[in-house]
Amino acid sequence: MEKLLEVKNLTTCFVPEGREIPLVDNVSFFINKNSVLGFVGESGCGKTMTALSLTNLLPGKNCKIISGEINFKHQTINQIKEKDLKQIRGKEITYIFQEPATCLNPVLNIKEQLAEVARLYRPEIKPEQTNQFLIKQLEQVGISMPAEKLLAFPHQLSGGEKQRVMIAMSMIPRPALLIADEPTTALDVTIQAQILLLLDKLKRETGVAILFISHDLNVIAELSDYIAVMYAGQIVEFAQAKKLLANPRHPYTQGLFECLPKKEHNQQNKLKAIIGEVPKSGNFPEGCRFHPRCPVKFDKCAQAMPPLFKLNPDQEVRCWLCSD
Amino acid sequence: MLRYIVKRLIMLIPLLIGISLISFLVIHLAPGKPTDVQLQLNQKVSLQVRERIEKLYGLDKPIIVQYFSWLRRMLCLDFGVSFSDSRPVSAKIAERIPVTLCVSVLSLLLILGIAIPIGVFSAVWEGSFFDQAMTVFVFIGFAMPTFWLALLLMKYFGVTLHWIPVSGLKSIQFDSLSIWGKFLDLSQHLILPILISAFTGLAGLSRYMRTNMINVLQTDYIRTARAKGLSDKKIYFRHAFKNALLPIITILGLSLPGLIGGSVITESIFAIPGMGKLFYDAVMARDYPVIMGVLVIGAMLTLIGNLIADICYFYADPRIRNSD
Repeated sequence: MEKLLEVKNLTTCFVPEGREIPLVDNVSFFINKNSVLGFVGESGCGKTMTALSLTNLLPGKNCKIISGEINFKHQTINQIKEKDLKQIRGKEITYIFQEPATCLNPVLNIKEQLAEVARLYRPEIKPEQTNQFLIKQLEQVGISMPAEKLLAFPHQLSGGEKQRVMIAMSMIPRPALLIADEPTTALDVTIQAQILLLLDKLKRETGVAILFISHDLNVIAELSDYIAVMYAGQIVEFAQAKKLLANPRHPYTQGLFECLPKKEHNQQNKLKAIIGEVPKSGNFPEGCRFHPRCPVKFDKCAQAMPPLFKLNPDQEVRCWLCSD
Repeated sequence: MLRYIVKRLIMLIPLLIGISLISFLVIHLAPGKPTDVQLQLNQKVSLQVRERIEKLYGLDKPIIVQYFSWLRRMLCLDFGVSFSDSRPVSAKIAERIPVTLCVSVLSLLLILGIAIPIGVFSAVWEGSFFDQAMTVFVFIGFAMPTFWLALLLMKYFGVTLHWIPVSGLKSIQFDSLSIWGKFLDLSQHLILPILISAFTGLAGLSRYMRTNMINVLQTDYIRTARAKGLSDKKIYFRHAFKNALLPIITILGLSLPGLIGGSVITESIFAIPGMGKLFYDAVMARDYPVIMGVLVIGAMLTLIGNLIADICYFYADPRIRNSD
């Protein structure tokens, strides 16, 4: 498998007045061509910040990539000029975000918002064909009555339709990598499943690779070829999906699995939860960041941060229990 | 839409009655009477004369009776006759409106033309030297006493340099001038008042525009626009500007009464015969019919301005346009 994107030791910090608060801490991962990497973790663990770092979409001047390399198609894209990055962001790497309701511009209609992408990245489409082309794009993402919806404003569409418009918008440039940041979190469960099927279909038909971010392990498991589990700004387990699902090694990953509701849960057999909260950035505990919540911690965990141990070519775990 | 306007117009009636009642009572609560100028300075006036004059103007009746007789005349659009020169109030107001309107519309256009770009670019370059310099500039205008600045500039440009006339609206030889000469004469008289009221009025609108723009630039749809790889120009002016401009409509609607009401200070200092000066003189003479006429017109314009703003929103904001 050829690597499309490889991130090495990426550190992104919040830098208010000279201080450095790590949001993404020394994160390394890769995405193969036409495959899906799932990013899973609780809210605030740095998944979104990692995704935004990739094309320097970080909010405000106070968030900065401090170190690391982001290699995309043989180019180190965190070291090139903004002008050249613009050739990649939006064209080669596109995004879908969590809240379709607020991600579309409320005062422009769907056609205007789609057409500007088509004009920019699909110059072969002549102006008089644009309408036809956009209707076809909406059809492909499963929007009914696409000709009418094209002229609608965002508030006239349902949440699912808005997310489909976002997907259509992100697929028009024919990207190599689609970053889907919690694309189904704000949607109903039934719509969620439809959107997942749609992303899977687009992946098979267009050969796009997907970085899929979610806090929902079920959703991640369904789609991913590789899975990265994030905790407190770090990757704690990175593995091939099959291996991780069959044999999760990090206590946090195991905890996430135990948190999933199953059929056999009843009065006697209650749903488990990981006790405690995700530590806040800038306030991470010494040693392993998960140790205050870890059910199997021992002395070493509080003293030193475990590195990522490579168990086999396809599974890395950041836990002292895996050190031998 | 028509139904909405009619509904809003009907809702204006109780509001207007309330406003007129309160302003009527407040004016009558103020110490002093319209008869003071005629009577109090003259020792020889007897009590009988005083009573006769008060009866002539209807001032001997209880306030509430005075209010209702005023209201009855109001309903027939009869503003009454000025106490001080016995001319109809409507005629006095009609001759003042064009002057005030000319000054205030020109200065409002100037404010819009300067304040909106200042606000937009201050937001785009938030925290830059430009932003800070503009903050200082507009707040100097805001904090500077109008009368003091006006006197300084009159002294410098009028008395020292002799570039422009010091006060008034027209020169003595105005009637003998050609059309071009008349225009030139008027603009010479008006340039200083317009510039001064624009300078002192910059702060509000430019800060408001800056805040709007900063808020809009932090929204999800601007992140989407950036993720699409659009140029900065497109992000700022196509995606952000229109959204940031929408709330300005309210401000413009609310500025309508100010446009007609004029500025008491500017008009008094420059001796411009406008509405502000008319109101000031009327208050000084306790000329109740004129005061009430100006107040009621001001109140009506405020309400109508609000209505017009709402109608403009209806056309400018698709979320409101398509909501029924």
